[in-house]
Amino acid sequence: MSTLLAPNMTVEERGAGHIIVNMGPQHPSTHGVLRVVLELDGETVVRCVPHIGYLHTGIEKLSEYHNYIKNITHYCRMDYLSPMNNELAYCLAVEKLIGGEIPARASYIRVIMSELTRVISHMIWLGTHALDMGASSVFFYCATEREKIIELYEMIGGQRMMTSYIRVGGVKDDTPEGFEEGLEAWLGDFMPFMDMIEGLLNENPIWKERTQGVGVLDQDTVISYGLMGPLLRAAGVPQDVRRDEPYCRYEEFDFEVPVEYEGDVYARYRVRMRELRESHKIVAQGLQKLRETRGMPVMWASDEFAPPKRQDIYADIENLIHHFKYWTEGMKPPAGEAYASIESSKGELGFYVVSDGSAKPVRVKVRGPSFVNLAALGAMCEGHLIADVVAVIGSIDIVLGEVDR
Amino acid sequence: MSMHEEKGASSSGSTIGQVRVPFTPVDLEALQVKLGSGLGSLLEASHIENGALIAHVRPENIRAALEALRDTDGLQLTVMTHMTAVDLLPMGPGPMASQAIDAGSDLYAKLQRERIAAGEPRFAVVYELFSHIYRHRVRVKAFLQDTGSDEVLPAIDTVSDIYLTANWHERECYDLFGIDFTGHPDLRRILLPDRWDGYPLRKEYPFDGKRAWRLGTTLEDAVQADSHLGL
Repeated sequence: MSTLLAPNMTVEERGAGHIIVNMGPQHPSTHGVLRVVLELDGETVVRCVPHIGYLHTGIEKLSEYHNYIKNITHYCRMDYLSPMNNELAYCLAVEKLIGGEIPARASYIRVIMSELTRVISHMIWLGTHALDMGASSVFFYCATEREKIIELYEMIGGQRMMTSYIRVGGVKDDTPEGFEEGLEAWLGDFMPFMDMIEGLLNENPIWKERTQGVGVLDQDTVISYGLMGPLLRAAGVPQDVRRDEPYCRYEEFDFEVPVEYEGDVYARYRVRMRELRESHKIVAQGLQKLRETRGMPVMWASDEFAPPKRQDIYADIENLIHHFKYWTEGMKPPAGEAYASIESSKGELGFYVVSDGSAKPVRVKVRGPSFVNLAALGAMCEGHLIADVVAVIGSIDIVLGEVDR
Repeated sequence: MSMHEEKGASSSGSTIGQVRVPFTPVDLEALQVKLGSGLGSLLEASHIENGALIAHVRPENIRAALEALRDTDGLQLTVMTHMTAVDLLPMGPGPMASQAIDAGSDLYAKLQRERIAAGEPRFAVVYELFSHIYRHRVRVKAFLQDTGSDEVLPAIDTVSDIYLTANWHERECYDLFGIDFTGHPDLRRILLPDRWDGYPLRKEYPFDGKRAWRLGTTLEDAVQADSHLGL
């Protein structure tokens, strides 16, 4: 088997008695189509090489052929577990190119939605991570909890996942009737749920046995690999884009940045769980702000970079022309380049957009946190047992749609 | 919880310490001055655009420049968030401006010749740096000339030993743009299959691909496609 997998590799190169094991790309615990090639000495991992690209869809090439508005629809399909985060980061980058102020209400809706997105993403992460470690009941609880937010998604964006709700200049529509009540119901349910889940796992001896001291990376390595998000904070670096470079009026919200210091799989779990509680806190404040700003605009006032209102299209010919031009030709941001990043559920998600003044970008580079974080998989796994590879992959929280783009 | 915090307080043995500066918006002009003194003659030009400080560096100086940016006090750009490249070849004229110029066409050859003769760069290699201590960002750009041939790739030194992040990013740039990173320990395609023909993010690469890709149906094909496993 191993000769077939590595025909050019001699026994000496491999190390005496070492065997090569291919894991994935169809292995369920690789969370998608990740393929990992492991060199094993007994059950210990000597080398671990991730192979990616099985889900490459050429989104960056595609972006150069579609206009700025159409491109939004590609990006929510990239990290399909946190669609609104992708839309938000892209829109922020294009807004930076254009310049201009986003209405307060639109920013609050964006904050609420990106925190809810963090929660649904973490729900899938926790459910599958626990499933990999043999705790199957957690997945069902998480899926149920996620469903509640997915319903809010459907309410506000008309779709359960690929909403394209966040637009350049604001959001597509104001919140529908019943959204605030739905949010309130979720706020009431979520903390008891968190208590239950943490009650199941925090002090669970099997969970701790499988996660503590596994996949440890020290601070210098984490920083050199450029890891961001929960992985960085679990290694003791208090870094969070929401707090350090606030976007969407995050500076008006009161929340903490949870930090743990062990840098292992358990610390990453703890950081994410504490983060979920902070998200709850932010959404509660957001709901308050939403109530204060009822009826205020959710799209910036711009003739060139915003679609005309529906009733105006029927009122005069100028708006009708603008309507058609906006949706067919697309908007034309000034030439230049901009980079905007947000704190996504997985780390820093950034978009680097280069414009030449036409309706289509010259280049869109996605700084996907999954791609960057996955690069450290080898360093995290080496020296551990093969069973720990599954725990480490789970703790990185990757989405292959974003890794491969 | 208290256990974790105590542990954290005592584990300050890291070389990149726990220095934390409270949040204030970054003063880009002051940073520009620091950048100028930190890089000295390595800096070609710098400007501020859309809330970002951009530094231009000659490609042969890239390693020295990034090392200086990482280690100079006051800059300490400890993290490379990402790096990428931009193909500066202009798109064709007209309403279908984003149509790729056919690689084999006379127009493409003419454009290439003209740009090389005029000394216009073909690629911008872009490094986005971030300091987790000072929370500021600097974008470093190096411009590469077209070689005028598909066989010879434009080259720049690797920085994958300065920032470990660059390892995969440089592989991605090589894969999609065909830029050679001299000294990279493992420069092979990352997203596309090893035997892929061409570099898709170059402007002359057609949108719908060059030809249908076939992985092969025999066992030999499969083995060859995976000949080294990267181990």
